[in-house]
Amino acid sequence: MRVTQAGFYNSATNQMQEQQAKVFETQAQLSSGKKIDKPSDDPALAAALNILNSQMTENSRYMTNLDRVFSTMQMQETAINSAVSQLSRVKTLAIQGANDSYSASDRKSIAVEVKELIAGLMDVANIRGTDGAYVFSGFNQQQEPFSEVDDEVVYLGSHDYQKILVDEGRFMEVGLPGSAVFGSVNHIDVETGGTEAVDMFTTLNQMVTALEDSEGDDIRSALAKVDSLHEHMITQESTVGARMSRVDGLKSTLEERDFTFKKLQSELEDLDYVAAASRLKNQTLALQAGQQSFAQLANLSLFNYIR
Amino acid sequence: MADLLYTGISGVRTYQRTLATVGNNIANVDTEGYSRQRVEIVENSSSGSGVLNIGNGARAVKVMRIYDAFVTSSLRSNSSQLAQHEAIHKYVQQLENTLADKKLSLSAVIDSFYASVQEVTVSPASALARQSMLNTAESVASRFQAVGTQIKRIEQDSFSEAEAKIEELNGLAKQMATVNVSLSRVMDVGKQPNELLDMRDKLLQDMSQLVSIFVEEQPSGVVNIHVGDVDAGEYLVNGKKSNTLGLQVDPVRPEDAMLVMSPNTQPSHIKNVSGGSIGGILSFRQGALQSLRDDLDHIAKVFVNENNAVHELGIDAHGKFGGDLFSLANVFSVEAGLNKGNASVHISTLSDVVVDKLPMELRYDGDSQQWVLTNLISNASVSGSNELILGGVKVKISGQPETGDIFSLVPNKRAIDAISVAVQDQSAIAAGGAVSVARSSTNTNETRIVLNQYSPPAATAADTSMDDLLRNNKAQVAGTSILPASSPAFVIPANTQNPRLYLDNEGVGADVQLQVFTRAGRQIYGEALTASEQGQLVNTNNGFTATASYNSDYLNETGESAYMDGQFIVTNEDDDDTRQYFELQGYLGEDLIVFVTGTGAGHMSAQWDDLAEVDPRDVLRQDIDIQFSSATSYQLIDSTTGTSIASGTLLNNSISHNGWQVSFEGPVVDGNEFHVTGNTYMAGDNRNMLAMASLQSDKSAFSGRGDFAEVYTDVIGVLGNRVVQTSISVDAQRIMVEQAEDQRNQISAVSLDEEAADLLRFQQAYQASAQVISTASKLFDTILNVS
Repeated sequence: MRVTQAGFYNSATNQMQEQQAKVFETQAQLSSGKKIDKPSDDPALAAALNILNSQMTENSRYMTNLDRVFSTMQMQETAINSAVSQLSRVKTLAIQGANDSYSASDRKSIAVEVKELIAGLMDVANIRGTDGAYVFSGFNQQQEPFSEVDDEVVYLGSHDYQKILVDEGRFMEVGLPGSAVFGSVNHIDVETGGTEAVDMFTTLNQMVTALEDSEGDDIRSALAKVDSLHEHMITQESTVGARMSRVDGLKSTLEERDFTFKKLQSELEDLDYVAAASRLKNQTLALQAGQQSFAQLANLSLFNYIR
Repeated sequence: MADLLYTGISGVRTYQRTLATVGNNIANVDTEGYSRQRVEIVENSSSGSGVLNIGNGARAVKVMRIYDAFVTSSLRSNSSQLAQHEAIHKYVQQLENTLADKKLSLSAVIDSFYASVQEVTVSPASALARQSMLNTAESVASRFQAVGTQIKRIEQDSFSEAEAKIEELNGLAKQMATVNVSLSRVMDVGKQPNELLDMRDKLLQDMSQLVSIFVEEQPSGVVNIHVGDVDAGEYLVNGKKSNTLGLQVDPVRPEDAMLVMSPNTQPSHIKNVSGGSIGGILSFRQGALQSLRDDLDHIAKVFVNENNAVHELGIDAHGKFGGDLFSLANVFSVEAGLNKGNASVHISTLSDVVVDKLPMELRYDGDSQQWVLTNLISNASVSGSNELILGGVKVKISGQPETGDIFSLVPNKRAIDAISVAVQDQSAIAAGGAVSVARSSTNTNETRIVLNQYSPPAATAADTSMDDLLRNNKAQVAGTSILPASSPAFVIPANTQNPRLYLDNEGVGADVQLQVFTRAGRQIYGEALTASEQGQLVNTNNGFTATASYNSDYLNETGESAYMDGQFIVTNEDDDDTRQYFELQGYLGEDLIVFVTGTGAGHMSAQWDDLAEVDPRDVLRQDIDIQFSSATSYQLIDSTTGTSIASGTLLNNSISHNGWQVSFEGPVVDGNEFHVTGNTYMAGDNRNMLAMASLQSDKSAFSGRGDFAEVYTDVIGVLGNRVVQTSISVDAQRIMVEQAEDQRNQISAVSLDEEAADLLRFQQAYQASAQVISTASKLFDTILNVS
């Protein structure tokens, strides 16, 4: 085959350029510390990293959501704890008052204490969170849930249970409307076996009236209902408790997942320095060999010997 | 003697020419496109007689050009391919660099938008959280637009480069025609000057790098060149004539650029253009660029539509249903032509006129000093000096124009360029849900009611049976004959205002009865039905609902006991008119089914007004009580009027009505009551924001392909793959080109070592021939000196 000047120079320069390009690419990897610089370097890897980033952002948002509702739940817990002890005290007082050996004036003084407890219960029901929102008002956060209108306690909040997003497509209830906690309670009448829906505040007011009027039978029937109220409040307590531990569990899961993601991200995108450094050495060597050999061969010509 | 002298001279002359050619080769060793030349030496014919024939030396007959047409043409076509792949690769890489920039990541900004939506879910009353959501919405819109702008810039760059390359091609075509002129002076290609042929081949090689050309070589060496479809017969160079090419843009679809022949006189579109940088750029525009833009537009459209669909079902801080959160405003975009003046154009759309979404052109006529605005589809036009109105669009021009300046008004921007945020105030964010559910405080069990979903009832076209059958004219003469039947005569569509029906008997012995029902089986007007009549009339074939059951509580009732407290009138105030009469003042939000029963024939007239304009979403907010009379039987009561509007049986633990669907967590018993209420604004209601946040992982919008992040990643991945593929194509094709070049060089390029050897060889031959002359001269002297 004929070797021509043009042929020789073209092929030599092309090869040197290719080698240079490879060297520069490896150098770029080493200085950025990442395997890929743009998607075309490894499209599948780039896609996986992008999705991973998106998932990490989502995951941390869910963790934030859980953190934010925790304080509300703590307020619920505190309030309901308080309500449980208040109802417990009302029960104790009512048991005393039910005893016919108590005089009307004794019962009247019990009534006064019960009235105080009812007011305390309303305070607890109307409790507000750190952001000023009423805790037990359902969605009507800016509306005081319970207020007295014409000697009756009315509920002005909404009946909705607030939810938040805790994971992809998963919701969790975090709200407790006042009507569910301090509203109607199902009371089973032991004598008739039937179930009756009684309102908490109404029942408590009935108890007060019965004590003030010193009506023993009324006091005893109200007592039975107060017992149901107390049971109901204890159930609410465990509901909140269960929710709070679920939140703890969810948070741990999300934190673990975050850790896994970070580990995966590092594995996917970080450069293997050792391999890259030795690759650079080999490629540099090839380039230098190409350059030196070209310099030597370019000088060879018959004209050097024709004088 | 004289023969010897002549032979010697022939040798000297021959080797002189040979050495000159060797010298020429050496001088042209680095000339691009040079084919080495060799001298062909032949024997001179011998002279003499009989057996004694003595040769007469040699002569140089021809300087051959060492050249292989096949190899050259193979190099041309491979170079075309390489230039095409390189062009596509270059632009695809530019696209990738743009989109790979983290500051332009669409999935990152969409993620941040949904994160801010979730912030509103945990603090729905916080104005700060809501404002923050609007801010991230803005950044989503800006980023879409920024990406669109960058892509547009690349598109414009590709257009400019294509134009420049076409100019270059036109220049080469002209030069080719000139060379053809010179070539046409000699009839035989073998006799053409070599440098002319080299020049011709160099021009062909340069042209093929710009576009794939088809070369027809004539016997004289003149070439005709085609571009694109050979059968179409369009010559770029035809002998001594050359044509020009240009790039034309379709005014209605400004992204389509076509290669045309003779753009300034009679443009004709050239099809099947490929190869070279021009072919590469056109292929890039129609392929990778278009599909990337279409994909991104699709993402933008889905994003806007999905979020709007959710937002429209929510309640904002003013207690109203939400409007659009994002908008794809169909604003005209203005494209300036190659204008010499410096005028600029501002567009606005008139709000009280329907805007014609048709492309328009604005052109300046220097003679009349007027602008003319033309609708390109209907050819309607208006003219003016600086403000024009056409088709609902107002155009204002400022600056100094020159004659012939053009602006194209294109009606639809791409979605990615048109996306914007439609909500200005954070109080207009529809965070709340429209419907709430609750158990009644009198229920003796703990069963909770759960709202599963709601959406406005599917909008169906209003029933036209009344319009088709009757004339809207209450006069008796305008009435229609109707035969009694157990199928409906017609339906009064929902929201019809003030319907009035008149029915009387027609003919002897006729006795007909007008009967009006709701679709749930409540009879509003007529005569009470017997049990068998109920079965005949009240069934799903007649348009009643599946759970319809006959109820005569509201039969002929008016005033407070009427159905839905509607203003029904069942007696005709006009005493002279004895026809059966049914009227509703105002309108009802549901269809009414009308039967005619009885014997004989009836004659019905009617009158009614237009349909009331009702927001279909409002029906969601009707307050409904669900009253159970057993574990499965229930009635739906409109809370406001106390009307029983439907009855039903609990099926699959769910009840649907008015577009909502509820179910029960636990058993229901006789006496249970549940409330479904429409909402106004509640500070802590975050349900619509929860629905919107769920869109982040919703895959159904993209037909299951994935959610926003996944689909966007897909688009980037496709682009990345294109870069890889084109890169591989370029590398592979480069090798082909190098091989072709190598082949050509092996045949036609100069090897200095070879020429150096030839230099020595011919020098020697020359010296030898000179010696022959010297000898011949000496011989002659010898002859002369005899005497």
